[in-house]
Amino acid sequence: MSILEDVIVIIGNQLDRNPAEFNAETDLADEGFTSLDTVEVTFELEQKFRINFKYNANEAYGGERRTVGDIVKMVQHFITQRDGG
Amino acid sequence: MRRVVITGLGAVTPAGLNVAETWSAIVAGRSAIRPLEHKMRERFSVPVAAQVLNFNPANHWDRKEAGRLDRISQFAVVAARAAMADCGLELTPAVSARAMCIIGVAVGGVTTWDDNARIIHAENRNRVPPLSVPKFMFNAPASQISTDLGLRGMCFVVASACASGTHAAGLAFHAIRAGAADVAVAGGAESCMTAITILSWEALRVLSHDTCRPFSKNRDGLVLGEGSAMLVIEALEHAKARGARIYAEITGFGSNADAAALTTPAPDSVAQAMRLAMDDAGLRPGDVDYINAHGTGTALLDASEGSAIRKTFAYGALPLVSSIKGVVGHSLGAAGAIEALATALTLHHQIIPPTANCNEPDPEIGLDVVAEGPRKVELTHALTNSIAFGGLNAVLAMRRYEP
Repeated sequence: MSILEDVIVIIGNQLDRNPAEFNAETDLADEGFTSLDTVEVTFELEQKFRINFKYNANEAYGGERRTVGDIVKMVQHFITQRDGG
Repeated sequence: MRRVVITGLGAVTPAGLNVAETWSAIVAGRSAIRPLEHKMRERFSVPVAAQVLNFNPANHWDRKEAGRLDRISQFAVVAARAAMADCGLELTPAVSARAMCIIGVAVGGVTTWDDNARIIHAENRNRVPPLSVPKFMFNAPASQISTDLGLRGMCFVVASACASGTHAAGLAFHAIRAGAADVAVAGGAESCMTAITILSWEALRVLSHDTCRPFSKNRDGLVLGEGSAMLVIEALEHAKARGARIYAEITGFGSNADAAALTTPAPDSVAQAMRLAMDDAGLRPGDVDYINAHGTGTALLDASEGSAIRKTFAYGALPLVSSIKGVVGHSLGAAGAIEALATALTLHHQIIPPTANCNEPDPEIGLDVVAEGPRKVELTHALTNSIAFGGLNAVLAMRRYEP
């Protein structure tokens, strides 16, 4: 599965919704994503991709986190960082 | 000063998942103490507890929301929802802005704490569930209630061990009487059936080997309980203006500290707390018909409380006294709230719940502890006592409601 597909599954689970309803353009706030969802999804993403968002240091990542696609980019960023890229 | 009344009740207790079931067990003296159910039960010496069995979070939340609440907050929110529904108050923005929430807690979100201790210390892992802090923070039950119901006034948790629920109701009463708020959800919650809590209580050597027998000569300790009770406390004119049903009036609150030993009650100080509550209510000792005792079923506590009551009421008729802990166990931070609820219903229904399991009333207690079964008597004034570890005493005075 691609990173996008994995992220969509995790977000769908979090919101108890069918992953088919989501795509890269989905705006998370519009779908009812709250700050608690962000914390829980962060945990799931770290587990899934074996990455570390260096929390508190979301500051260390300057990108947007508005859409599903933004989350995919963020995951990709930290995978690259993990792999020493 | 304003008069203050109780207009709503909610409960989740070992004796029932609502007020009706809880009260019917309490008034019948039907004990909810059972063999302890726990996955680590073989490692405990204590064989019994008063647990809230058959509580299913899925009846109240979806999976995700339920997972964000420690069991203590689940009990608290379910009891608070019930109390608010029971009182029939419509929380308009103006009412909500002056609606307080004060909740008594003794040990807090220990299920979350216990689980994380296992992950970190036993499994040697560093990743704990992401919402652990909002689940175990001490104020979680109050914050969850406030959020769930939309109460926007002063909101906090009060901790005074086994007196917490009584302190919560007493503080809410004083605030409303003084005009700082019009309505409050006040009560207590606890969910302490975790390995850390149970083994720690065992270490104190105060737990019973079979059951809780308050004021009985053969008493041998307390039985841990869990649950929650919530009261909607309201200014009388506020309640009358909306035609609310009134269970009882709260007339006084007294609270003090022994400033002596942490786990040995001081009868003089307990007596002083009762006097403070009576003074606050404008009562003389002869006015008090009934005391819902702390009565945990330990040798020491029951003897001290008995002595304090005899001292306080030395010059007049002794009030009738009973303890409901033989039914619901000792639910720590929730205990005072469950007992305040029981005292309100005692006045409302004019019937005294018995001291369940007191099959050998101790003559040295020197009180009528209503051992034989519920007693129908005319009651006007009642006290409910809480006597906590840490030497903290809290007493509420309540009156049968009369317009």
